[in-house]
Amino acid sequence: MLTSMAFAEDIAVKATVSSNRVALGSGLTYTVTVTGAQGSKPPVINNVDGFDVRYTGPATRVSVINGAYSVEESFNYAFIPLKEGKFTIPSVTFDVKGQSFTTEPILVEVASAQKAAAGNDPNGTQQDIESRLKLLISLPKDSVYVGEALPVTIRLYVNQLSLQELSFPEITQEGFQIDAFADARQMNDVLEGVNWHVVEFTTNLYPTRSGELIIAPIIVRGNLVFKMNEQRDPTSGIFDDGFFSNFFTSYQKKPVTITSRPIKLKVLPMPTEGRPDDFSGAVGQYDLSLEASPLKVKAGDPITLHMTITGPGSLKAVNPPAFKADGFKVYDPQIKDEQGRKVIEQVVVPVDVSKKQIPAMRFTYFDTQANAYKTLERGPLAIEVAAPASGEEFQAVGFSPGTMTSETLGRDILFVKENSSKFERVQSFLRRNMVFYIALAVYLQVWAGLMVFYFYRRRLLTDPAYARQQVAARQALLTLAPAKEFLVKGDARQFYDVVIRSLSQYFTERVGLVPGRMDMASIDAGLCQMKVDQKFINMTEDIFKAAEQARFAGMSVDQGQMRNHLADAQDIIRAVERRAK
Amino acid sequence: MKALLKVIFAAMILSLTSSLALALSDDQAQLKFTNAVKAYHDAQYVEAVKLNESILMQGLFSPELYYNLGNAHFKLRHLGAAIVNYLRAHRLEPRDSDVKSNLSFARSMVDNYLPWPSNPLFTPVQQVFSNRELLWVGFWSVALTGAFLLGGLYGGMRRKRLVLGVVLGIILSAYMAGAGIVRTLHQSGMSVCVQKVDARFEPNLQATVYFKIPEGTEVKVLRIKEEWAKVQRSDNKIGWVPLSSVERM
Repeated sequence: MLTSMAFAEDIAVKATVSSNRVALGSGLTYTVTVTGAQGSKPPVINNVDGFDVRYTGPATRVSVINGAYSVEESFNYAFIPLKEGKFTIPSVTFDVKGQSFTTEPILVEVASAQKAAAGNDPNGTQQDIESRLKLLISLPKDSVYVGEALPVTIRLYVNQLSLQELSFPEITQEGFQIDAFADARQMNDVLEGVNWHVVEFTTNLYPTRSGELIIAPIIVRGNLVFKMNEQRDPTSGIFDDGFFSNFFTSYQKKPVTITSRPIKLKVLPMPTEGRPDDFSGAVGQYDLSLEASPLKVKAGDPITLHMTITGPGSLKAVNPPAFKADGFKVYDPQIKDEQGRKVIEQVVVPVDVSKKQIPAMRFTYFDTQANAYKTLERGPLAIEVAAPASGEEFQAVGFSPGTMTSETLGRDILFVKENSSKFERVQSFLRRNMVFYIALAVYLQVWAGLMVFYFYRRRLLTDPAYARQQVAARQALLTLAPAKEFLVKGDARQFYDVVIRSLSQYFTERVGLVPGRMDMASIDAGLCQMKVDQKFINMTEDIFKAAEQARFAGMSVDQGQMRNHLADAQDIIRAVERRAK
Repeated sequence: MKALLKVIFAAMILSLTSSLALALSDDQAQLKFTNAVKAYHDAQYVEAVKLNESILMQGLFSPELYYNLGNAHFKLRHLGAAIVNYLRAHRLEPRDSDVKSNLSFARSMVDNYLPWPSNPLFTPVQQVFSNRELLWVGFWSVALTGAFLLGGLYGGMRRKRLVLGVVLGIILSAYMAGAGIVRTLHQSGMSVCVQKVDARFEPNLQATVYFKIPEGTEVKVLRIKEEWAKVQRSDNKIGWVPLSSVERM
């Protein structure tokens, strides 16, 4: 550390630098310290040869040692070396409490990073910061047509400097349209045997007029960052070790502007020879697609045309193909620029039912590879246009007579109703209406009855045994009827024949007895199984015994007993029916 | 037999008398309705409200009556009462465009109006049919389905057609019944705040105010305790309000 001091009574002023040897790309701190006074204004320091100077602020230190009070105020400046060499920081004169003080000049040597590390400068060459920053522009060719996309690559080369907060390149030259820059790429490159760190920007330029144009200097702005050698109190011994040196290291930023060299570019005009009438300025290579939907419509219904223009050429100057056809209402196209393509949607409305097709769409451009105009044609597309229904005829919006463009409408409720429908009573709600429930119940009963009858009838038709059982009683009572005649005649034999035949037939159908094997024991067992009252079983036995006596022994039976047996037979049948159900 | 004849005779007399009484009351109601319309014409809105409400007091109602009553309340700036009467008219005549228009306009004047969510499954039919119509359609769907089933069974219809017809009939009747039930459940307890009111955490005036309910807001009454009603707003906030501040549909 080099120190220069000036004294006046108890006030002392000194100027110091953090180091009198500094590497290009780093910085040093220059400090003016006032001892014994406080509140001074910082001295103005500028225009120091070889340095960029910036005031970084004051610092005050107060100490009390053995009751003695002392104060020290420092003013710090960042000195950024701009080139290599030996430079003198001139003396500084300024006032402290009405007294003028002048510091001593300080000699500082600026070396390259390698030399600073080696501690000497064998070649003695000076190299400034600007020589460590290069901005180079490369173009794929030196002549283009008006409107043709010209890819531009801008490379910023940085050597042994820390450059931050870079802006995108600024191109202010007139006569060009410029695309937005793509994201910057970073890489390393060797240039003239030196390793450089490179930041690459790319974009497209579109010349807007012909002639010899000059791409004027392109500018990139950024901040150089310098590592500062901080000045520390020499009495603070333990802080001089490496760890604390790094801890106290600070950085300073210096704005920098890097400019490129101008580049000449020959811009050719569009050839007039063979230029189609519908050429609208598209230059490059393109492709065109065309779709339409729907293809079956009524007159007055819209059809949407979808056109897409793709290709590596400039899409800026691409105008959509013009739709030219009578019998269509044509709306303005909706155009969207997407990555590498232009999408056009256009609504057309056929108003004439005789229209059978969407006309072909043409797109003309200048092919820069073939150096000739080319026309792409897509279509025509077949469509079916039907007549609209009555009342649906097409009307162009905004052209019908009497259409209001804007109108302020009032708002209020609608008027009362002059007449009421028939008043109802609260009880008329269905859920409170008994008639409704009665009707519902009747309906459900009828419906259920019909369903039951259906299934009953169906079983009768499909189950013969069941059907016989169901009619057995009725059949038996019918077959008993002739017995009354024999009762009146007093013909016991015939009477019991009829009665026994009827009962046997009935027991066969209803009780399930086998006709040929029917005897009193099987009848008893069958009736007991059906849980028929014993009284009726006994009555059955009586009838069968009487019948045997009358039919086979020829015994006479009085009419009273026959009448009883006839009534018993009917009762037996009814009793069995009751048990069966 | 004589007793039976007496009963039938008494029933006929009773029926005749009640029919006569109904006819008379209906005529009186029509007269009041006409007078209420005239009062409304003359901007006598209070009188119009009184006349219309007197018809309701007779136990009679009609969608037009509720609609006119809503209009009279609206003109008196009784936004809540207007909305509740429009809702009643709308419930009876969901297809009436005048009712829908006025209800919509009145709702638009409610501060921070939040509609109740509708059921997307049933909304299409609920916007067309009243509950009574839904019930009738459902009833006839069931009846026709039953008749179809019987007709199919007795008429020897093909089994596939029979099953398809019955299933469709059951679906239709279930859908109609579902639409009616969902709406009935939604409307049960639906009320309208007839004045701006504070909803509190507890049913007393010292309780903390939870949120404010603007006049005309449609709320659901969940519970009634003495003079307080526990109401739910369409954003599911629940609080207690004085019972007199809400009017049930």
